[in-house]
Amino acid sequence: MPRPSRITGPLLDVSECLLRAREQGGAVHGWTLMKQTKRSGPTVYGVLDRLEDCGWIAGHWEELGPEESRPRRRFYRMTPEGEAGVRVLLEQRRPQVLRNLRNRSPGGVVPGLAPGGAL
Amino acid sequence: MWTAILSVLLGLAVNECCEVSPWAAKKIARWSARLRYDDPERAEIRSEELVALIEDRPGKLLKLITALCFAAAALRAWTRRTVAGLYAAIPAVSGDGTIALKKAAIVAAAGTVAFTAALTVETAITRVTAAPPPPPTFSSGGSNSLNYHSVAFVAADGTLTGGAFPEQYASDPNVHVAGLNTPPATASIVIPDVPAAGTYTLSIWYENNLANDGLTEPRDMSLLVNGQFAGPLNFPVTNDWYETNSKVTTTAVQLPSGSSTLAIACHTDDSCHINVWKIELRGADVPRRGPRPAAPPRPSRPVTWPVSL
Repeated sequence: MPRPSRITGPLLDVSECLLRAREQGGAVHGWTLMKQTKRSGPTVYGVLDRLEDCGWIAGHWEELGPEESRPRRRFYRMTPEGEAGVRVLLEQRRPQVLRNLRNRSPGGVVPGLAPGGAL
Repeated sequence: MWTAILSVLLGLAVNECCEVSPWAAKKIARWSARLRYDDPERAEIRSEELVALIEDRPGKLLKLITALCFAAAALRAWTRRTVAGLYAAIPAVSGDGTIALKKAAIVAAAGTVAFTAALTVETAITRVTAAPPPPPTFSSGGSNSLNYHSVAFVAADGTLTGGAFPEQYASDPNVHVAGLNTPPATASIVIPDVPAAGTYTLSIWYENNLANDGLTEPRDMSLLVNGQFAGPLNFPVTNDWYETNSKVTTTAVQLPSGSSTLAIACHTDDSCHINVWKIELRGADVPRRGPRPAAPPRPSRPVTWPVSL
């Protein structure tokens, strides 16, 4: 399984958010990731590039209604390979995060999830 | 009078800037995406995506600031690519040992004033004569024995097989070897110039904490010298997986003279699951050319009794 070339703090932060979103059955867009990780835009998008390059995440455009004229957002969800890889990474580096995810009661909502949730 | 006019004009200008900011931010975001990415498809995707992100960002001036951050990052990426292109175009080492100052160009490209630095570096690349860096060797001292200094290797620079891979921790400039979890994962290094056969001290900087088998416990691995099992390696638990928590495990190893390959291997009987950072080999008191030959017996002088003085 390919892995990101460098494992950094921002990569772990972004991966953590994406994993949370996946557990909620949804996807997140760039602005949500920036807010949740408190990282700058270029940093977050640099991480998304690396995760996309190794097939850990997949992006899709949101569908806008005919009356909506704003630019489309792009949502990202973690692939099954990405989830497996991120879990290994977090087990090594941030085991507390995984424990919190396991203990979390189902039904919580991640802000910024794609409309409709499941992809 | 003039003060009042200036105040009004300034107010209008500020108001206009605030109104223009979102429009300018979107333009800058699109330009940044196209500058940052080589791949036109990804550039187009990111271009639209960043415009949507700017739209989501609250605050007119904040939109502009966010776009400028993207522009600065794109400029750095573009400069890095440009200088790397220059770097690749220059031959690495000429026959007489002359090397180009390529590293300086790359380092300059990483700077924040990358745009102008790229142009400066392009004209500033010169050639200097320098000897190629010497390979790591042992140095000797002492009269009856060779007191070798240490020779150190970053494990990730060695040969990684069987699932071992280089990995970099957050905020840690050093690359570690990870994936030494299951057989036959192995990290090998070649010691190129062992001057004499003998016993050496091998030190391994490693990390061992909660592993993906769910255990936090002392681990063991196998040491191979030139493919032959040379003894177990023991790795007590460290505080974390980060370099600042590395510990050193030390063992004695017998090496022949000349080149040898040392391998830290995960065998079926080993518990494995460690990360390795640095490997150091330190010489002990090793005989210069084998054991010193025994002194020949002194010729005995005939003694006659009684001794007459």
